[in-house]
Amino acid sequence: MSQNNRKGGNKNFQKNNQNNNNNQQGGQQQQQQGGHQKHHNKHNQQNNQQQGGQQQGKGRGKAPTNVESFPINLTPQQIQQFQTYQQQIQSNPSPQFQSNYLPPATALFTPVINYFINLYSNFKSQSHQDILVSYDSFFKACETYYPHCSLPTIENLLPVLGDKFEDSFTDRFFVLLYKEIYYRYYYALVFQPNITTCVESWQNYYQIFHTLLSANSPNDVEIDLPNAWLWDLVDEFVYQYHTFAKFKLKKQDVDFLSENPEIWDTTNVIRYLYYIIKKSQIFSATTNRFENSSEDFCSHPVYKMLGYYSVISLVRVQCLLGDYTLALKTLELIDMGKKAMYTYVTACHITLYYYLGFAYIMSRKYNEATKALNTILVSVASKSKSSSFQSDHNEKKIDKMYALLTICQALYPNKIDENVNNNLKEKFGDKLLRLQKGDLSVYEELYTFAAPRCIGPVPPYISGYNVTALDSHRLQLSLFLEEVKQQSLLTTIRSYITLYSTISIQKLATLLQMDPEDLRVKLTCYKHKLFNVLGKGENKWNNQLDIDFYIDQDMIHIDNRLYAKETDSFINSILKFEGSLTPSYNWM
Amino acid sequence: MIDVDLQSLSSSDRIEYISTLIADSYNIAIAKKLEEFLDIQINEDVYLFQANSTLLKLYQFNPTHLNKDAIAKMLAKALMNFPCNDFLFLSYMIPSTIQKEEPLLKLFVLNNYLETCRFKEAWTHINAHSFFSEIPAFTNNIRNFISGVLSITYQNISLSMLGELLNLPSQEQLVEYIKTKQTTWKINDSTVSLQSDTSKQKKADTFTFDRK
Repeated sequence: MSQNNRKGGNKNFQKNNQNNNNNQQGGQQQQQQGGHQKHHNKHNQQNNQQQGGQQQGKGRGKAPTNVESFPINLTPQQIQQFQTYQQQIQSNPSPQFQSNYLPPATALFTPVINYFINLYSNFKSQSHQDILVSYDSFFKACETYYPHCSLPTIENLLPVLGDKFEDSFTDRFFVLLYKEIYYRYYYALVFQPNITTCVESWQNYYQIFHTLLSANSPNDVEIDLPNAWLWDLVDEFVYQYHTFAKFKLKKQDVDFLSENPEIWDTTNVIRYLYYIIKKSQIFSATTNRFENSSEDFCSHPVYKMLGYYSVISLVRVQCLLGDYTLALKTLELIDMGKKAMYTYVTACHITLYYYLGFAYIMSRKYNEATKALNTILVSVASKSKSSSFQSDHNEKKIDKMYALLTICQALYPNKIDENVNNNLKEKFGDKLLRLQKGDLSVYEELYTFAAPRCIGPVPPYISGYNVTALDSHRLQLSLFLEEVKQQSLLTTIRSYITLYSTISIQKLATLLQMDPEDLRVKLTCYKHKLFNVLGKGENKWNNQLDIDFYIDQDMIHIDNRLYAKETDSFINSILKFEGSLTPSYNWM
Repeated sequence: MIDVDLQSLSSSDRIEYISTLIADSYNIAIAKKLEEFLDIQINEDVYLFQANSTLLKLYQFNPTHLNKDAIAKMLAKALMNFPCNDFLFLSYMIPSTIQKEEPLLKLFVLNNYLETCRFKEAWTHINAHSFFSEIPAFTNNIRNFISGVLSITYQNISLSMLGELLNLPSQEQLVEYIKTKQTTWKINDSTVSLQSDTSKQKKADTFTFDRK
């Protein structure tokens, strides 16, 4: 079973987020008051249609009732929050109402209890395989039994462990990890969680990282976790940071944050990733490692993989902040071999290549971006056969990568894998044609669809700039479109000069209906941009689809590689044929 | 660490010192030193993109410290390093509103002229702003960038056109400049050959087929 099914299912919630929210409002209303039932049913139907065919089928609409369950006593705080939420719903019953609150779980279901106990004992056993299986099944059970509310809190669940739970390092860490899962589930179901939840989740990450960072020796850390879980942990940390950075904050939230500036602060997020990398010693020089072998945290699989995944997540943060040179520089740390460690977890593999491709595009290295995207798309195409219900989340990223590749193919045509090319034509074939005609609106559309939503490191209320001035995402888009504009007409010129081996500037200008002087500028620009893509060191003949030319005063001389290649291979075949005949002459 | 006098260091020590400084890249305390080093880059023939992008990042993280004049200087240095994409990388991190205002606007306008190879407009623009001429070696670096683009585009170009694109209207100046590009650039009457014989040969070689 794929390691990513869990994540997929989880993120799946996000996709249908709005729907779930609406549904969940309704669900609660029905239980509590029976109000707004019409509205609720309508949404429930929609939701069921969408979810149909999935393993739980009708389970998504409402939690199963045919199993034994025990009611949960809510804390006074939970009850109060819940009542506020109820009032909000009543005052604003429109379906567009976006909830930032998830009602608490009201019952413990026997299967969930069993899966939880299982997860705990497997966690104690420290066997990767067993932990992974119970990790996946615990999530599946939660999706079934808590479709529209948060998970039971750790305080609700701990009593079921009874005497088994000890006050040891391992068990305390298990509590932190469970809380992390609790908040992850919350974030998956709610579009923009309320600030209290964000703060609690941040504090929990703080606890997790501090526990790991303050360990003196790897031997003190008696835990082991499967790679998929470790990846999910770091990935979710950056996801929640990104979600928080995109927030439109309310007045009271701003007041609160001004007093607690460390919460989800960019510098702090980067610092934690950096500290983990440092602690893991995964990239430190070998000489240092020999000096203090007793404190070799790199030998501890949890540290090693956390450090590794933190580097990939750091690259993601750097891309989100628009620092592409630093992102590409950080990536140099990672060994990009075929069997590299990022291939262990598919979601990690995809994330890494997605940001790599994106950073290359923003650096105008379209051929490098093509290479990277082509590699990953070939690799996922072969994988998806083995696990047919691969996660929605990965699928979405793959679609985005196809869109990025389409942009590359329009700006700088390159040879790509035939299978990938077919998929690309199927998904974005019509878009590619319009891109090649220089349709800016399609570039904008594809970019908006495919690019990550960039953010500023400092929220507007601190920086003092208004929101539009600091809209990093818009800035990246406009700079990208500027580049496309600068390249405009180059594709047209390319298509014309392909037809000739020599043509005068005057004649080509007439064909293109433009001023000869402008054409000269455009031709120079073509050469400049080509150089830009290829960089200094590279052999420009690598790309067999492209053409090159030079100007001799008023004449353009064109080297058509495609044509030359055919001639070459033709002549080579003649020579080979001749060669194969030669021995028979020798005999005579 | 921070109270080192940059002026007292030799140029190689200076680079080394700055490199260790920017390893601590989220510490706003180093911004002053980096601004100082930026001035040195403007006045001397040194350039360290990493130092400047770190400074810009510090501004991004600490908007109250943002110094537009320093950004203008680092952008000018980035233009002097064309055809590298340094200018582009910096512009991803500069809020869009201040890109559209002076003192940065003139740099973005020039960037656009150079990126689209409208060299005549670029020269008019450079000559209209004293900001550019006040930076030593600025015009020379831009001229060298343009020469590079022309070299990969033209086999032969008329002397008058070359003079216009390089903003060297007087015959003597132009001939003098061409001399600095000796061995590759050669004057033949009214035209200039911009590609050396060896590179022409290389071009021809790509068309010969494998005869083994």
